[in-house]
Amino acid sequence: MSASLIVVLIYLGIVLSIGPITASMARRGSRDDFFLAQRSIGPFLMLMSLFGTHMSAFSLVGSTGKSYVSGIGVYGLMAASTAFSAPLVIFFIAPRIWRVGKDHGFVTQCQYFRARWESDLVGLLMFVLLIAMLIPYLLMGVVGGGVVFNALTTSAPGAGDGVPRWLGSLLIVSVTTGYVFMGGLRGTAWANALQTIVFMVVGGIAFVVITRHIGGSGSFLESLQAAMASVAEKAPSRLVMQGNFAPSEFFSYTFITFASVMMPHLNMHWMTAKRAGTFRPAIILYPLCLMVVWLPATLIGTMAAAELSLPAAKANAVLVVLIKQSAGPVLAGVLAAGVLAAVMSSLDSQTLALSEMFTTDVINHYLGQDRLSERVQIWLARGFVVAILAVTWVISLFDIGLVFTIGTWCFAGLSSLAPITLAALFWKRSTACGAIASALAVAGLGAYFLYANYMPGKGFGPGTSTFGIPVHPVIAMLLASSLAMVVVSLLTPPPSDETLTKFHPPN
Amino acid sequence: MKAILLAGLPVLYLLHQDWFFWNDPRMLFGIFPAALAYQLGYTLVVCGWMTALVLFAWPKDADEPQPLSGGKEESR
Repeated sequence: MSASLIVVLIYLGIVLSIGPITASMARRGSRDDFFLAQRSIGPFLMLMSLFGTHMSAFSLVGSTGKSYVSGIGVYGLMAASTAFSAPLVIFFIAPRIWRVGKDHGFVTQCQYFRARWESDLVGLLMFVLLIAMLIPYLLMGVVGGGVVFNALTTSAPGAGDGVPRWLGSLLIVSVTTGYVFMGGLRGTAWANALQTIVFMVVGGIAFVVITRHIGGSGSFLESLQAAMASVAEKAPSRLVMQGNFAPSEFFSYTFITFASVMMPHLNMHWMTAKRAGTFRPAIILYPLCLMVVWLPATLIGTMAAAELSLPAAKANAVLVVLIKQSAGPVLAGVLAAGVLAAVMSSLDSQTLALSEMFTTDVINHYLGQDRLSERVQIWLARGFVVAILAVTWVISLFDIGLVFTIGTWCFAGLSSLAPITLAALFWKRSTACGAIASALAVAGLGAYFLYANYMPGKGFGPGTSTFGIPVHPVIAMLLASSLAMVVVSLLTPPPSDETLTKFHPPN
Repeated sequence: MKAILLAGLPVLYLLHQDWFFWNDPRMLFGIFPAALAYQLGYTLVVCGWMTALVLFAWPKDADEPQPLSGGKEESR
């Protein structure tokens, strides 16, 4: 067993131990503590856990791979636009979701939608759709984990030796599930905080080490200048936007970044806040945190374009391949552990969100909260999570494309559902039928565009055009979803006055 | 102040679209290609804007319970 692999396994052991430690801080078996940490999360933990949850394999493995293929524009495409959208969502949406959750005792989005529109069907439909969209999100982490293990231990990408991808994926899923099941939301929040710090610090170290390797000796700045000069000479197309993105495609991607409105795992974290003011540091610091993670990742991927000759289909492995080339075995293990930290810091919250949604929206709602003990409910939810993760893991065994591409499709679906949350919060006249029509429009168009962009043997394409127009399909999906919500709501009766007064009280 | 900050958001959104350095091969300090430098500057401006939003436009009653709201666990 290589030194790199031993270091990674030690890190996984440390992370796994967080579950039992935080579990000892909680009321044993309490459902409120397991899912909500008793709504006691403060500003620091909120920032770290929100950011760690939001950043996934997409942000390190996916971004370096995409920059390797498309150059520096990837930073503007996802990071700068998220720097605008994510804090705005936290400013306008998160405190309102927190307020609604606290006032009415809600734990999940589906509970809110069901009550807001007096419709079981809305809750059920949203449950199915959100679970369906969490699967590709989980998939990014599962694929990313497998790629890291394989690239770290193989002699050359695609050589067929080293830890197989399926085993690496299985290991990451098992460790994450382990500490989530043992520690609940409190354990997940602490693990998120630890892993967020780890991947931000280690990401910085990896950037320095890789830059020194590519740019040669001298000061760090001189190495960086030399590395970028090498890109300008060998791969100049990576340093401009022209030829890598159509301007209209670049614009359309900004809509994808509004996915955070609907992400179940972010909504879950919002509901755990101690008070509304808990969100303020996150709003201010989110853009800087994004820059700290995405700038090095984008530059590493761009520098790799002048350094490596991997085919685009192997771009997921770029970061770990460079880490292996640039560092000794122990340091390479530390840096790879940092990449896995980013992978797990999302995977854990998604796992918990799945568990929470199943317990609340299926077991409690359809079987009745009092018919089963809290302990039984938690164990049933764990069974559901294992089943969903098993499905995700099986899908990951196929060639489904780049982590970045999986991410953009998943985010496109989630952001297209955003009109549902916006209507629930801000539009009194919205109706259950409007929400159902909106959700069905997203499901139908999403399935169509996924099918149209599937390339047998290569996985899903990036969706660079919609009916021949160079924009991501997210725009068509969002327009259809908004239109369906407005038109159908206006044609159908609104909820009762009692419900409207409850959720939209007169000032 | 609050009105200015909120009204400026659509402009800030549109400024994300790089109208200026799309095909500019120049490098800032020999490190940052022009288009990347623009987006980094944009990120910093957004950070400043968000700070101002929190300082001057944060709702004063955000922590107060909504009037006439219902009781706990009502939807289950």
